[in-house]
Amino acid sequence: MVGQEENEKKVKLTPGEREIYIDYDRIDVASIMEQIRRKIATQPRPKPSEKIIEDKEIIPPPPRSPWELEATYGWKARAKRILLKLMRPLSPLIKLLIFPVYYELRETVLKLHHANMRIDYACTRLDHLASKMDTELAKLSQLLNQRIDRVEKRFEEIDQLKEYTKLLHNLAHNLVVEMSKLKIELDTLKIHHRILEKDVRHLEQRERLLEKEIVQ
Amino acid sequence: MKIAFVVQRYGQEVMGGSELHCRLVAERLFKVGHEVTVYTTTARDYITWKNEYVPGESILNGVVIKRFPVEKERDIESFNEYSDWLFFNPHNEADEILWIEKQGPFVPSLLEAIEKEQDSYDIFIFFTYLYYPTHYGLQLIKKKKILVPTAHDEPALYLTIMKRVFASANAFLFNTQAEKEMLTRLFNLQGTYQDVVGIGIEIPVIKDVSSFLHRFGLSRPYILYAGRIEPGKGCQELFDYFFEFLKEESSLRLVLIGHLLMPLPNDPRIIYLGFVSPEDKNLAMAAAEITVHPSHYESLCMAALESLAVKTPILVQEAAEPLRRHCLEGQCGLYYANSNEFAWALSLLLRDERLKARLGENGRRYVEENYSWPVVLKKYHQAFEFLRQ
Repeated sequence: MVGQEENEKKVKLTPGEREIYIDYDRIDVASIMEQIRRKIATQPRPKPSEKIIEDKEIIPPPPRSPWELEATYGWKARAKRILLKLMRPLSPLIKLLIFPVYYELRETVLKLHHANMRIDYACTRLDHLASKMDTELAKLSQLLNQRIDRVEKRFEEIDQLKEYTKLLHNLAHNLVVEMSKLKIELDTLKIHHRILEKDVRHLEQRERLLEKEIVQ
Repeated sequence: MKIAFVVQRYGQEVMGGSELHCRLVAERLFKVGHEVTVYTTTARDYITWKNEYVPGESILNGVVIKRFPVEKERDIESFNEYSDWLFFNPHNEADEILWIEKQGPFVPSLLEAIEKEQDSYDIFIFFTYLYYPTHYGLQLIKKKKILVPTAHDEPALYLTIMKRVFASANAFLFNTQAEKEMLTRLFNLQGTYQDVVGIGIEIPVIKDVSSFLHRFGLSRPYILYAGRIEPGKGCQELFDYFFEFLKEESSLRLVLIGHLLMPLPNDPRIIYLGFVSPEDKNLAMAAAEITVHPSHYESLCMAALESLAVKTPILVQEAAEPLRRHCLEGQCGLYYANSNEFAWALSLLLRDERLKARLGENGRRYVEENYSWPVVLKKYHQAFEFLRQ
């Protein structure tokens, strides 16, 4: 490290910072940041926050032995310890005759007690989560209902438009039929017109012939 | 040359980034012999656009100001609500036009005036792409026009109507290279004049900071934040990170300067000085160990450059790309993206005096080379020359 020793004499660098390589003659910010990031990546995980610690403290850890629940101080405890010490050579026999039942029972009760506590805690958490989910679901369903209402409205509008289109289609169809009828009528009238014209022309010829005859 | 500026607010009391930027450039251009007129509104507050100045003509430091009254005040809550809907829902162009009108400041009389009087000027310079006067003004003016976008990566930039704004200018003067790259990626700016200019920073002469410390009852070491104190500027995040850091460095203080727009944490290690004079600001920066710039959205950050001008290194939020670029291009500061990085970088800067001194020197050089007034004015003149040809 360039100039590191000289620098360390003046300032108190933490061990982590001491490991950061800095070329003071040619500062490279990108490289410093890169080193800092590498350091952070190798750091141990941060301590759990107080909230997490509190949560963990709700559930006591299971006792390792039933004896842990009893007082470990005072003359009773001392007497017990002495008696246990005295009885230690006989302990296999005692265990065989009396102790196992009591021990097993107590251990089972404790385990059950602990399990109950865990279940209670889990239930509380579950209730909490369920109520949270209920709220979220209620919000979601409200949103969904709003969306559905909007979609239904759109559908109604589309249905109305469909009806309108159908009516327009019928109207157009009727107009076409009427137009066709009128066309046929027009053609018939044109033929009649032509026949009448011929008749008129014929009558005019006859008129002229008759006039000639009368004059002669 | 006759130059007209168009900006949403203007005045000695207006401290917003782009507005101050505009005023400083206008005054400098006047000082070098140009005839400068500023078309602006009578608003002083950017939240409501409430009319506070007197409409009509006035002169400030040689610059002629023409003020026009805002016709609709802004209801910020309804505007934010509308913006939220617009930015994250499918919409049409009419919705975007309504958005720009709601954004304001709504001054149709300003637009009429610049359209009528445009022949009296050689060039128009518009500041900030985001507001109503620039949006419509740029499209109305037929003369040569420059846009100083002061843009950062924000949802409004992605609106369809913005394409018209960026297609209307003949030249673009960006604040940073990062801004230029972002805008050339988003819009087709081919055929236009482009340059990275920014703003000029005065290099102050710092003599004695002890009298300043005594006057304000401050003691070192402290880090400084200068600017609007609001969550939008990343201040809440800064407080959180700072308190996290205090667990290992409890003697450090955080000094704040600027407009207070949020409640401050009740802790004696956070000291609010209020508004201070520019001289005191320079002294505060010079006496600080470092200055922090926690905003996620910045296009230049004058406070960072001012800090570098007094050889105080900067610690910036990485998400603000222009700030990160200042650090990398000037080799003058460190950046962070989370509380861990904040703590590490700050701790290193506080403990390594040599590193801090080097970063400070680099920072001063960076400002002198890129953000001194002669450099900035030269770039403006190059743009004028290009447009005249």
